Amino acid sequence: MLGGVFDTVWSSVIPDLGDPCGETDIARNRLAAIIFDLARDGQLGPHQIAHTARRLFREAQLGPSPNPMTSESRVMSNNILPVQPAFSPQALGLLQLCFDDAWQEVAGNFAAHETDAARWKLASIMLWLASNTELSPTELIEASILLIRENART
Amino acid sequence: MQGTSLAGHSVLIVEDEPLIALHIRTEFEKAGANAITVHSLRDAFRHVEQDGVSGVVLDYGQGSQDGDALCHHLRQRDIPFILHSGYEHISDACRGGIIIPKPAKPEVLIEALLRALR
Repeated sequence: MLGGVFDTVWSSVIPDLGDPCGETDIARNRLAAIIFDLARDGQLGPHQIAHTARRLFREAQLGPSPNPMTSESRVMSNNILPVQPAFSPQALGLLQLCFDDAWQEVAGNFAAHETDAARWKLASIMLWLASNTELSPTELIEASILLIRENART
Repeated sequence: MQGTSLAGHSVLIVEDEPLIALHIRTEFEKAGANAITVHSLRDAFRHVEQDGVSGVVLDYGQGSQDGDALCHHLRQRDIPFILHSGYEHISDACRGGIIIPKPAKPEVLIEALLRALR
């Protein structure tokens, strides 16, 4: 379900990105993080998630929300903190397990000559999500799989 | 942490696990270094030869290859290097390297390289 929401919102916000050279991956990750944050408590349906995610994403791209005290804006502010402390060896070990699970799920989508690049891409996505969201390990795996598949399609 | 004390230094990170490599690179960049990751010894040699580096963090024993030849190469050029390794046995070729058991916090690697660069 979230893959469809992501596709819908992404296609509608692409024109807002202007010249996205070098910024597309960050924007994709940011949008995925927004969608997963909105979906995590199960209170919103697909249309509400898409609508809210579109607005929050545009706010994040264009500048701060005019009403920064809304709960949705607080969600957003959690997603865009630029500097995070390093992961402990234990946390990195857990991330490695998540990475291995996610890779096992998507490895078959890539030809042998694409494997290296795809693994590095997946690692980059997972580190970004882990640093900028509060997703559970399961959500982190799902979000990473979604993003690496999106990335492979484009 | 020393903040930007690695500013102006180019650090080569040789690590075949992308998650670990990118994590270490991010932390070295936060410390001010120009950090580069490679995941093969062949690429590591090329970077050392062509681009020059201030220091190296080497995942010793990565994959089926060992890093002895690279260690020797670095020693000849007086380039400080850290052996970030899960192996207990380190060969004589790597004498002079700073051995940090894997996994280590990135700040431990950064501090070790800073000391070696002084």
